[in-house]
Amino acid sequence: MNDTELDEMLNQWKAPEPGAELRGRIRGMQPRKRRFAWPSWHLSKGLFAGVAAGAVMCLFGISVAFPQVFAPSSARFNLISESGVYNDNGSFTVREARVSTAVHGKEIILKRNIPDNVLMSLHMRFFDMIHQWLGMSDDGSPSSISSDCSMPGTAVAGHATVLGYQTAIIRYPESQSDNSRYTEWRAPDLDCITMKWVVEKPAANGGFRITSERRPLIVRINHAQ
Amino acid sequence: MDTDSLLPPLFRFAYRMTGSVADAEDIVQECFLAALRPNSTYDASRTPMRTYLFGVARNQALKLLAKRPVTAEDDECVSDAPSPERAAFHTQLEAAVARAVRRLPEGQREVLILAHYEELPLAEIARVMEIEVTAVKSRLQRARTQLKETLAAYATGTERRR
Repeated sequence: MNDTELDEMLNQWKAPEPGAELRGRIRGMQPRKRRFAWPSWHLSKGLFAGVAAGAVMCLFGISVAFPQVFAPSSARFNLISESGVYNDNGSFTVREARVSTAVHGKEIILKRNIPDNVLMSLHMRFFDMIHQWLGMSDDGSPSSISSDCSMPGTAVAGHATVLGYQTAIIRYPESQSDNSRYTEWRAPDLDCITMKWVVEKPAANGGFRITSERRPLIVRINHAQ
Repeated sequence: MDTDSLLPPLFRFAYRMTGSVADAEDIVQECFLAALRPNSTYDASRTPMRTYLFGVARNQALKLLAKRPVTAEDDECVSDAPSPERAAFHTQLEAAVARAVRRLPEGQREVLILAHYEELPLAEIARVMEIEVTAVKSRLQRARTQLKETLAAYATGTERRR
């Protein structure tokens, strides 16, 4: 018997084909391809609530752990100030107290508190921290402020002494929407920090009345220049 | 995984190894389960799926054959007096070939089925059986020689009926 004859003989042995039932069973075993599916609405709500709660906790933790990136004492100087609004009866309500410093006219808030609003204080601390980080990475010339603290589009309306520091009074153009005007007092010796500002609105008598103001309280020099 | 193309050759291999449709179905099912289960050892970067599945089928078949006692049917001798009817002769020839193949030593039987019936390349058979290609060639040669001797009487019969 030669090889061809053997092959022909071997080919006489037929094997059955797998049945349909087996094919079905094997196909049923196939792992289903996982398709991306958006979570259900209920899951989305839970997810959103979880993420929101996590974000709040994170915010709280960061704000407590890092009340400020720059320690106030590490800045050349600290300006402690408060800002608020004047009520109709003439009384003043403090809306915010802050410790800040400045670099080339750019104010960096080191710490601030919103009276009677802990959550908002934490919220603001978080954003101040972000701003401080951004300030740290800044190239040091964020604005085109000049040595006398004047800026393009503004005029130095005069000079005044605030807490013993010479300041340039910068008056901005009146607002087109409500005719309010904004004036600030910048101190050249303190990196042109805005020591004071006021917002004035037209009064019934034709003049202007101050509606809100920043009041400088203390300037603390930490390092001799 | 393309089960439609892999299933028939695996099933045929399992059937020819065990001689039982039910056993072949169990073996094939186990093959695909082995490949699909989470802790599967299958590594697509190292082994083609077909080779892996034939390896699993082989192991399953050997395991099953080791447990199964030799039956009277397995030992049934090929009749020395084939029927004069052509159809009957072919039926007997088929049974004789099946018996002759099943009576081959285990290693030779696997090689013959994979090489002749499933037309796997020798290198792939070597990977399935985890032996050298030279050993595959050797076993195939011995298997064919043995079959020529066993089926010689039928070859004469075939010639007579042509």
